[in-house]
Amino acid sequence: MHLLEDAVTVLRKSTSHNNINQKPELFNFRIHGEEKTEKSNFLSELGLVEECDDDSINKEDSWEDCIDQDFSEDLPPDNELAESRKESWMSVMDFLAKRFNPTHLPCLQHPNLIKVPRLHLPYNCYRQTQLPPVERAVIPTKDNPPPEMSEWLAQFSTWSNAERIMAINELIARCEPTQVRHMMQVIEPQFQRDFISLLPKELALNVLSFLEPRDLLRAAQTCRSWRFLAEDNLLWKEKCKHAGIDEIPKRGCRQDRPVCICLLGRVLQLGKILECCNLAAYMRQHAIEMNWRTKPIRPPKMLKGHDDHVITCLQFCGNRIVSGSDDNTLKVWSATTGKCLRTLVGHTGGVWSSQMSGSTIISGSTDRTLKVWDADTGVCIHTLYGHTSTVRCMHLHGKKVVSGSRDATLRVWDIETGNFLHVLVGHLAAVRCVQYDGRLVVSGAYDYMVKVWNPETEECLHTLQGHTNRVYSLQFDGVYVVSGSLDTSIRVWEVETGACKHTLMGHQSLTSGMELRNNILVSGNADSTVKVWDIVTGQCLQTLSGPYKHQSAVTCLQFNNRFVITSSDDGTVKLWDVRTGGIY
Amino acid sequence: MPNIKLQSSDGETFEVDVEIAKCSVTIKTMLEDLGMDDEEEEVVPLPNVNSAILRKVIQWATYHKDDPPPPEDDENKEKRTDDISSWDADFLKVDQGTLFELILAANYLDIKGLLDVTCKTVANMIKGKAPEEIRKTFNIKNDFTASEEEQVRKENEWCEEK
Repeated sequence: MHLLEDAVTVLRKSTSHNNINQKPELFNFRIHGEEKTEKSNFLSELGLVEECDDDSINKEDSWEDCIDQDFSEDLPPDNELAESRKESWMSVMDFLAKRFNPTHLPCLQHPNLIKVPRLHLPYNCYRQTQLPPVERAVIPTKDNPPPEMSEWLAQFSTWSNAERIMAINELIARCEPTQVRHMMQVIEPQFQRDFISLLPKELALNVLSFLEPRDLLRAAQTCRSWRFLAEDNLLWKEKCKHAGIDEIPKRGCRQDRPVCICLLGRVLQLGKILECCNLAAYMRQHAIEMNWRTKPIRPPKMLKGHDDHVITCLQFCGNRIVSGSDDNTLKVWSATTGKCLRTLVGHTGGVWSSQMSGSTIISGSTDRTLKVWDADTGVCIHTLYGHTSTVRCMHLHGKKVVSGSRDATLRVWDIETGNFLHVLVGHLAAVRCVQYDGRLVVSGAYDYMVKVWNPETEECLHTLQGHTNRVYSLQFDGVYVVSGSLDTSIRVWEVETGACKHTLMGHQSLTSGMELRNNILVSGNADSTVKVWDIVTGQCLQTLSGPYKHQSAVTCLQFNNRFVITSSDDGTVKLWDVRTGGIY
Repeated sequence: MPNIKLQSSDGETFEVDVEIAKCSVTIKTMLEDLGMDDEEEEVVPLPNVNSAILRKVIQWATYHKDDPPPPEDDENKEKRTDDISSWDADFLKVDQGTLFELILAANYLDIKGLLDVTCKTVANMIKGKAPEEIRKTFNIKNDFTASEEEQVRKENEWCEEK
């Protein structure tokens, strides 16, 4: 037992030496003479010495040399010594391999080996064996491994799982902290998984779908396979949806798209742009949003025209703006230069309503007609006769336009052929507002009523009664009809049943402008406030007022998921954050 | 409660309550299609799941046996990852290899709840990390050339501006 203690003491001592001498792989230990002999016997009994080649037998006591050597002394390795040591390590390794192999255990019962505790002896030797001695002429590399290693490993691979586990435990127990740490570093990556590259594509995309755009784009920067998946078009389609970007630029239809992309510093080849259509759309939206939030406002372009007359209606599409006036004309403006491109002359009365789609403009006038214009040439293509009073409102869907008039009727027209298609009769007073989704027509009138029509059959499907004053504004999404009235209320109706689902109270005056998107309604009111509503619950989510509110009636508004933009009789245009209700 | 025997790829057999096993749509369909009788001593082979993973899956399914069926994915709804229950979070404190195999098993066995929570867990490991941190987390080799990496970084820096 004292041998073991001695060895441990020496081990401790050597460890401290090692620290000083920076030779952690070396241990010095001494074995008392008596045990030295025993050791030799011990090895020969195991037949280990015989296994060594002649060279090592010649230097049989080199093993002792080796262990007597105080390696903490910074001795330059002598080749011969190193060679002999190598051999002796081999023997020890072999011995240990056998010792750890249970199939060899019976040999321990050899009568000369009854001193089983002696088996502790190789402890230190073993400790040295798994650390390549510095004296070796070569630093071990993959191509040039320690010669005994392959046998060692071969032995290991013959073992059963339980045996391997045991050997590993023993091996770790004999390792220095630095070596254990090294093991950790080697082992850790084995437990890491490059999920995105290794999972089947649809599962990897499922993981990525949980990431927000910013995290997705960071993920795209890690490596090629991540980038490929993180820029997946369908993935970005989903992200666009969440961001409320429903207007995805179609292939090649928007000439400004590549420009936007260059602006963002993203240099993509055209093919790539088409592939990443949704990503591009998201980027475009992001850039626009950032511009609105942070960029200084450019000085406005003044569009001067129509002299002293009132501008009654305004439309814009792309870079073109169309204004209608009670001076009997419409003007087409360039939004980029602010220049008037065309003046559309032909109406014999004031223009009070207009619609625009691409380069087609439709106007309604007090002269009781509608006119269809080509914005590019300024030519009047069709004049639509039929109404017997002012055409006050209209709504275009596809190639059909529905017009509402002071004559209390609505008419449906084909703008391509200029044909009159249908007339909807039933209101008792001037029709003030109209919505058409291609299937149903909804109209609001000064008779306080809202009507739902089937234009094909010219049948009134529902008369929505409840307002106690003139109806001025309408929104219709195919399911719900929302009407704004001079009675200060806003009503939400179900188009199928005609039932009034909610009466939204809170405004104090006429609701002049509304917009409905995904069950969220924003209403602008003559009481100078703007309200955001959930039309399913009927709750008012937000009132855009406060110290920066408009000073006069709100006339017009637009909104998306992020912003509400409003105009007012006070002469200002305001940008609001729809979530916080704050103003920019 | 009738039991059913599930056999893992490495031959281990697990006896499980049929109702628990049926949270796997794959097993449920298999039982229905094959018309396996509850009384028969049949063993359902699961050649794509080893015993260690199958044990975990059964543990998860047993805990969640009374859960309402998971809601259908709504494309329009933003996906959340902060709604992992504490039991699931503890259950998924495993090494990446195990998590990886759990995802594959949840997919193969068609257990939506488990697939969702495992994918969310991986997503949470990615969230808020810089590219280099992500590489470190998953031991990813950066195979971009220096110029490519610079280009990708430039292309994506627009999302970093506040």
